[in-house]
Amino acid sequence: MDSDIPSSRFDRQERLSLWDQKLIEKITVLVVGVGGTGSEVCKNLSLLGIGKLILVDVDSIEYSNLNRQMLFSKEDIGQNKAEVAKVRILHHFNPELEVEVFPFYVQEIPDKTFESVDVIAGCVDNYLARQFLNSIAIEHRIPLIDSATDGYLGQVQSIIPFQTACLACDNPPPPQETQVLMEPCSIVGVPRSREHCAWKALYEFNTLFNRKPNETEKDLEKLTQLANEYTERYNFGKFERKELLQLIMFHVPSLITVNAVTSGIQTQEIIKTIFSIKRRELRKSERLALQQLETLTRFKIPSLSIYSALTGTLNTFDLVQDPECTVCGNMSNLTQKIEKIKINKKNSLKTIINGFSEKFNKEFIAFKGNSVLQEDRSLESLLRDGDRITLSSKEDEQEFRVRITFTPPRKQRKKE
Amino acid sequence: MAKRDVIWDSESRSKTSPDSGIEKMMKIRFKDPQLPPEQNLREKYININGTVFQAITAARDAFNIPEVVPIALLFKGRRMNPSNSLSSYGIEENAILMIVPDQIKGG
Ligand SMILES: [Zn+2]
Repeated sequence: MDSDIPSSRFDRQERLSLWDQKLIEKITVLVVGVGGTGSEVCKNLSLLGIGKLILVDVDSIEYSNLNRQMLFSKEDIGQNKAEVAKVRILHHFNPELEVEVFPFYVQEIPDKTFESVDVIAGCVDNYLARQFLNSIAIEHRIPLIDSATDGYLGQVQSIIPFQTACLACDNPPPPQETQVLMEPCSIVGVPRSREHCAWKALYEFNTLFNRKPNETEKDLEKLTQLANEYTERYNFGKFERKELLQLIMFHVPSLITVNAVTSGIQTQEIIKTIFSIKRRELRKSERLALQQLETLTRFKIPSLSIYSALTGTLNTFDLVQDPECTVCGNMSNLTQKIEKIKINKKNSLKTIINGFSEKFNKEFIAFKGNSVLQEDRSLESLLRDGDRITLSSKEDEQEFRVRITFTPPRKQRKKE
Repeated sequence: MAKRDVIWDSESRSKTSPDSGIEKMMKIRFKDPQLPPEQNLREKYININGTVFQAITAARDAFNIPEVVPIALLFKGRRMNPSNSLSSYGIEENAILMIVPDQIKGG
């Protein structure tokens, strides 16, 4: 072989200062959401030679994804995004990559999975999943590089737990459609605007059918009818179905160009975060040399980057922690010691809750992340071995973090 | 909250409101970093005891940003919550509040 020919496919990136290909190859990134930005992030990370990807997405591929989600094509419609992504990544980008797949909601990933994760790439499309991911990142002290897009805008926020602002800092108000479903009291009474009629219709739909509306003819028909009953009664302009769909459904306008820029920034921040993780393992002299190089190259991980495709601007901001933050601030229970409970998985969650109620003489409610767990269900149907839950008093601020380990099933004794 | 909660110019700075007596106004500056440097800073007078929401309304007015475009304000690295008071973030005369797009949530 000619010695002038580069021996590594990563030769061109290895020429960069600060670059550490060997380190990148040891890293595991958890990519949550394999949609518009998620599929781009997967492509970028696999081509950069990342060690392992863990992909999480419950959604199936839809026809309207195909304008931008380049891992998928028409014949994939109806299949799970994470599963198809794995096949495409291995085939097209990096056959040596290790890929693990969870075709579930992010709330259902076993807690043990997080123990091997170095960085989380947040590529989800809604407020609640993003807040859940944030609390997981803070709890496990894993850097979270989160992205979001909306039409011509894209943003990337880098969260270094307990160092920079997290996604719950300063208590950002949820978007209106989430507010409607979380706090219906905000839309009671006479609608004060035309939009209010739409929110009331969404809430009413949710109450009637116990689910969010889908992008189907039938659901849209019903939703429009409900909304227009209000607009007529309170003298606002009538809604067309398309307008209503844009206003209250969870789908925002998406462009592949904005997804590509945003996920490019996101991937770059992931790589830089990996390089800064490296600092922990360095000897003092090496660390000083790296610091000098970083100063020289003006290395920096901005907390927030916002890209506007309309103005062609990319602005970065530093965000600081909110001391009152319920997730990462002084009041957070995530820094609390974890109680450990070993229990047979056939028991109901009630067994654990009752134990706490008896011990502390008050009622408790159990959460995993930000979702309430149903106490009459069996532990095995709610949790996986090693999962952490929070038991919160219904009467005061007392909270416990509990790690549940399942005991092995009892073997029947052969001799008596 | 309506625009009347914010007083725009120096002539009306002595305007009173029924519950707070004389409103004390302060000059703050809004910065929209999406605009070129020579256009991205504008001043407004707002109630010293006002909320972040009132400041957002003033920012919209300063830069002609319609209500359908969600925005947030940053001050010294904090993304300010609309229902908090300006004083809770220690905002004083001449402070620069950064305008950023808000509620970007798609994936
Ligand atoms: Zn926080």
